[in-house]
Amino acid sequence: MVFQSLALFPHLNVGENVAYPLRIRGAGKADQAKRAEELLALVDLRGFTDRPVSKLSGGQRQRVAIARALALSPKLFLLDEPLSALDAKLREAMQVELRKLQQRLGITTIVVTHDQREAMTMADLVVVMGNGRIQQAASPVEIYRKPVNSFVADFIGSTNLLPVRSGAAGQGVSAPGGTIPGVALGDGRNQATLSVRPEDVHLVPADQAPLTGRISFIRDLGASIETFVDAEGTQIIAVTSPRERAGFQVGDTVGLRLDPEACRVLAS
Amino acid sequence: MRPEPPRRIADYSPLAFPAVMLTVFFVVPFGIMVMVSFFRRQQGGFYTPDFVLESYGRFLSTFFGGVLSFSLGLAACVALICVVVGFPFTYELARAKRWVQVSWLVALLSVLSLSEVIIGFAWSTLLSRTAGISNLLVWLGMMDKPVALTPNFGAVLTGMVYQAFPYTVLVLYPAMARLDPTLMEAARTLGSHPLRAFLTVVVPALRNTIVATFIMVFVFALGSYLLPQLLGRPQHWTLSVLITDQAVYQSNMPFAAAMAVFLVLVTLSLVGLALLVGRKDAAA
Amino acid sequence: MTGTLFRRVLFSLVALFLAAPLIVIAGVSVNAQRTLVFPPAGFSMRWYGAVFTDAAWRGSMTASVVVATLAAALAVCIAFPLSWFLWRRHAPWARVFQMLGTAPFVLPPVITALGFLAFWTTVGAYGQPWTVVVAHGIFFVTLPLVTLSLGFASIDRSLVEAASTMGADDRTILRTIVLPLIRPYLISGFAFAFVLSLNEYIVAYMAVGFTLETLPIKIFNSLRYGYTPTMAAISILFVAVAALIFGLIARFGDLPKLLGAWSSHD
Repeated sequence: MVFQSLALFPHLNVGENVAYPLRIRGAGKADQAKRAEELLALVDLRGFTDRPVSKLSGGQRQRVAIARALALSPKLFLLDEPLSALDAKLREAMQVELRKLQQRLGITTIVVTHDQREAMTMADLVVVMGNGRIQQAASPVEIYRKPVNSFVADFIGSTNLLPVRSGAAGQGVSAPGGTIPGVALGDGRNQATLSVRPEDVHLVPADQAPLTGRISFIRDLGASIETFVDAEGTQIIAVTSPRERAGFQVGDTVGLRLDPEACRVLAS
Repeated sequence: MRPEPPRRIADYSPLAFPAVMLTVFFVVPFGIMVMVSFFRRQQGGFYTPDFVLESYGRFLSTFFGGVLSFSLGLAACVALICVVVGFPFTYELARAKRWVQVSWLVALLSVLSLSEVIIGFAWSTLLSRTAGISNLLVWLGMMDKPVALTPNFGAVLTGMVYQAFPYTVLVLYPAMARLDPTLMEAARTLGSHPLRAFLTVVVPALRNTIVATFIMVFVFALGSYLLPQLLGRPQHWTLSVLITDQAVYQSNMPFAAAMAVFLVLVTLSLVGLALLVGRKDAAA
Repeated sequence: MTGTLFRRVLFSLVALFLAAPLIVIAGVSVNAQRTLVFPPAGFSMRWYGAVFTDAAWRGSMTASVVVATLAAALAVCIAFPLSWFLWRRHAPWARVFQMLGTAPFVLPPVITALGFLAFWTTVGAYGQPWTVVVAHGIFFVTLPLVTLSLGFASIDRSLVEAASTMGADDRTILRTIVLPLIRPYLISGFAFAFVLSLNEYIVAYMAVGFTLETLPIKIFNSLRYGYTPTMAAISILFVAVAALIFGLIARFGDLPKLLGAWSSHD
């Protein structure tokens, strides 16, 4: 198991830390040393055997913790928020490395994390938990595209949650700011919550869409542009890439076109 | 890993030796002392098991009252001086460079560990007529004749402050070291003069710590036994001296025990008070 | 900068106050003659030698050192299992023993001294040399108890959990994880108890004052009967020993941390 705080023993050096599980089982010094070297090579820390733990960088400490957890060739590998102590850039790199390591060794691994990018990167199966219950267990893509409730929809990635009512027949549903054609509530429901990801909200001139609102804020992040639209008090966020810069300004009234395939109707 | 309650008998085993030792060698002696305080005193230094309050009755004498009020007053003076000087001193100490802090801590610990005998001896020398400050001043030409500055009240007070000061600093040190350094900085950026910032920000923030420290030093000073004898005259003798005197020289164990019990009650209530007050600060 | 000036002045005054008696004693201890004068008239180190050559002083010194070593060891033997238990197990009722351990030290020493006097007299062991070892051991339990509590509190519990997930049982964890990490606190607890026992007067006096003369007792008795510079020499030696021990602790350990200076990012 790898702990959130890594729990490396401060009074032992790297090699002794990694060999600890073997040492307490009575393995000989030679065996301990050999295995330690094997494991350190596995995590790309060859030659670090005699280094004191205090002289390691965050990423190196992480890898020593992983090496130690693998010492006994476990059948199950548990990681408790393993990367939360690392800075953002290192975290991204380690996510990929961990996943590659896990696939190489073929060990069943359970990772606990609150970082959904981490979950999406590393997992074959994602289990989203809320209030102590499993909300949804599915592959990362399925969780993202087809969340079963608004908790999951909001937790993984960002989403717009719109309160909708059934509209006149054939006109789709009514939402703050207008209507969304092509969507049905189903199941005899009168109202529900609609989840649509910001990247599936397209901005068009106001007269070209049945749903309109006023732009309250624009956030240009360089790689993408987030437009905050106020539709009758509800905030809808659209994300576009810079190439689609449509020239809208704060204060403009704008039309919102939602792809019906990308809208998920949720019970709550 | 959260501590779990002990389950098997074996889980209790580490407690065995300490529990036995502390019960047999602290609770029992203490209990015996309380019992003895109720015994009847007999001439010749013996006492018979009994239940009389005559030892406690002697509390009501003016002599005892005098010694008691002197002891309390002296302890209060010592505590006051130590805290007033010790507070800014410890504050500065906790802010100093590491090597300065460590050197001072070693020095303070060394002085703290000094035997009361040695402190008494040192100060009685320093204040004496042949080998003390006055000799130095005469040598420097600032005085005509050397003068004995001991035994008197001032000498006792000085000696006790000397003994209690390192203790004061060490009691204040954790709180000072953990004080948020940005408090003073914030006050300064708002335009406050350093002294004012200190008095209006740091002191109130540690108000409870100051009170708790005062109480702890007070209790510490109450226990002084040798300094009043080495540096003062009999009128300066404290309760601790009286207790020993009664126990060892007057062979009046019950009375000594009674005074000791009284002293314990006073001390325990003060320490309890200090803990309560100190806890409020920690929780803040 | 008024701040720095104030600090320098304050530190100097306190330093002068703390050092003055010691300087005088040092001066007196090297006085060639057997008189109590300062500044010293003539220089001689013979009084330091007398500490070791004079049988009476040497006997006292040996007694003090032996008692201090044994008492400190006893104090640690009591404090360690107790503080380990309090840290490892959830047992609020056991705190009563922690209070018992702290009580003798917080109370005025004369109380503990008197208690032991009554006790030893009652059980008939009054005056036996080992009684002072027990008395000091109990009296000074607080010191290792406090340092060990600090020490245990500073051990990251996830280390214990990690070792446990790797298959270590309680005894192995104690041996391989806890003991190495708690060692500095064990040593400093022992050292504090040792130094204080060396210097302690009244508990020792009331326990064995008439049969065994520890150094403080001998010094006090000597003060009544007349003065010898040997007393001054011993005083300086005591200070030097204490400074040496605490200096060693500071050199090999983190003294500010041992005394409770934990910053928020520790």
